[in-house]
Amino acid sequence: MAKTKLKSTKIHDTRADHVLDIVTGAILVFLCLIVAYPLIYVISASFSSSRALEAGLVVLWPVEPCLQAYDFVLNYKAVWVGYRNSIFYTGVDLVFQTFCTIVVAYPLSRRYFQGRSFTTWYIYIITRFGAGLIPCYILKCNLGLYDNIWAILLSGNISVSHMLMLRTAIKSNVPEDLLDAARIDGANHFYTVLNIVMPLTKATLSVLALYAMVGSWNEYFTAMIYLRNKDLFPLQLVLRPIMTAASTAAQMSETGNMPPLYQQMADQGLENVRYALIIISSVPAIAAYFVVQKAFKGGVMLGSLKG
Amino acid sequence: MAKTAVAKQETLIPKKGFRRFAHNFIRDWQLYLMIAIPVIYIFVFSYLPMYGIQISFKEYSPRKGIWGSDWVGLEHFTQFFGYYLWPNIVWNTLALSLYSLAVSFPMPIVLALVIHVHQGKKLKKFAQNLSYMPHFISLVVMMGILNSILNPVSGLLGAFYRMLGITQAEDIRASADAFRHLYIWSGIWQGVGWGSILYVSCLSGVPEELHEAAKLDGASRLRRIFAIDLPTIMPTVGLMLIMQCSGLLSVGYQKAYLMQRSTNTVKSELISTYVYKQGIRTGNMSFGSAVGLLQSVISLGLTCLANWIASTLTDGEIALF
Repeated sequence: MAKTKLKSTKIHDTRADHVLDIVTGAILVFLCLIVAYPLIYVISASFSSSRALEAGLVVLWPVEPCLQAYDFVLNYKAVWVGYRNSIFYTGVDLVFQTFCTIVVAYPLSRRYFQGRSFTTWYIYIITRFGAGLIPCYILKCNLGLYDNIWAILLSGNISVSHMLMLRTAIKSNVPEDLLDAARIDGANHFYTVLNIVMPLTKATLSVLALYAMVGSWNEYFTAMIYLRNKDLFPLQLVLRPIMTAASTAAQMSETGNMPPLYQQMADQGLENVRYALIIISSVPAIAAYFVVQKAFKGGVMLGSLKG
Repeated sequence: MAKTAVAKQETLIPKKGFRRFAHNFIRDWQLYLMIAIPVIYIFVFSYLPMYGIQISFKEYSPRKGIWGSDWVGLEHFTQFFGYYLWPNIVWNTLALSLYSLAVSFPMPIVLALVIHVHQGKKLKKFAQNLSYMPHFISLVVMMGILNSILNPVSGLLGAFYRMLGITQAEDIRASADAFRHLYIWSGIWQGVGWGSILYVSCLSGVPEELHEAAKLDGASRLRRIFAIDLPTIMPTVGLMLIMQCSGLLSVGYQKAYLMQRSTNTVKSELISTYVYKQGIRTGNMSFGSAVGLLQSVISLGLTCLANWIASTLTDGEIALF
């Protein structure tokens, strides 16, 4: 009796449920349009001629399609120097961040590790209270971390939340028995981390690596504070004057005068170059997402909050 | 047999005090070695600067160093409160974060519920994946998109103006009144999909039996959202809310700084951007540091307050610490 009832409720959704489905569907379609439209526009604009852009003819698809903008960017050296710098900074940061995350998360996940509660507090305090921008600036300048690559590589960014996320992932994904067995067989902690913990938490690790990568690829503020030499600028800083074209004169003066690229764009009316730069500079982060997507199931984030 | 082994083990480990610590330290030396690098790194770049906080009460001169500079007491604080624009700067910061709390914060929750409730798997998946995309666009590039699209002549907005026959349009990128709306809504465009991930994964953890039981009792899907889904994600929402409150004064200044123009600083000057400009660009390090200290201390207070309120309301169920 109960069984048939259950079945029948499963088959017949009420009318209200159907309405709800239609409403939520409409909301999702609306969301897709809102998100997709500017993206499509940017892509189309980058392939349109600047004349069509100036005339406001581009609304959805490319008008007078051409590769003029990409051609221009391809031959513009400063952008590629920035690209190379960004790849370097991001790469080093990615390795360092991942390393730190692992070597903190593993000991913290060991119940018998005595420094556990001290370390947890030690890293937790800095998420709640920081010395502030200026004292950090003074310290780094005193250490000689100013206007050289070390200023960026040792930028002091280290993600505490990633450490805690990985700790939770280790606790739930790596069976204690396995680690005990490894220990009895004579594996030391370094061996265990490399050959047991890392493979078993691969999904979490790759997601955290994605965060770290995207974070440092998109970073501009640290570089703006600590770098003066244009040859060391990461891509975001190279792009900043172009992207925030009409910003204050004060901001202009701080990165040098009007950058030649922007000057050239303004002179030749190369409105489409900006769109091409938007696309070229966003490719690595989005590509990284697609690479890691499989590991990305959202469960990682849930785990972080369970503490 | 086993019992004696355990007993033997217990006698081997010193019960307490330094000897126990030393014993464990020797046993786990590899763990301590592992953790040493990040601990030292954090000490140098996060704890060592705290020593420099004292310059908030001094007149810092690079020549004399942090320790050697002269004490000036609370002069920098009175200077800040003597500055006629200080309420403006503080209000700008608060207004922006309250706006974001009211609008940007609930959006991902609503989206997560919509995604959770919707039955069409393909549309759901597509919408989710698509809405993650903008998250990967950097702030600088986001500004580029905003500036280009909202350009009243050559941008998308310009094209629409022309379609509607508007010739003399105001440049909303430069308008002070539009700053907050641009800031918040561009933030939502970038972050709503990404922000919903957490809540979606939380919702998928709701036991199916609950829904089945509610269905048997004749609850519609809408009813079940309020009776089952919302209560399950409430603890998460609460935690996120506390974290939001603690960030009330340090709301995305990097983005605000990029959006600043001489025409909109009335609304776009935040505490953090002011600290940066005063402390590093103008070189009033002590003054900048004092304002920054004020901000950190109030933020810490707000965190504790939010945490206390949440934990009293929920009998300690929702709390950061």
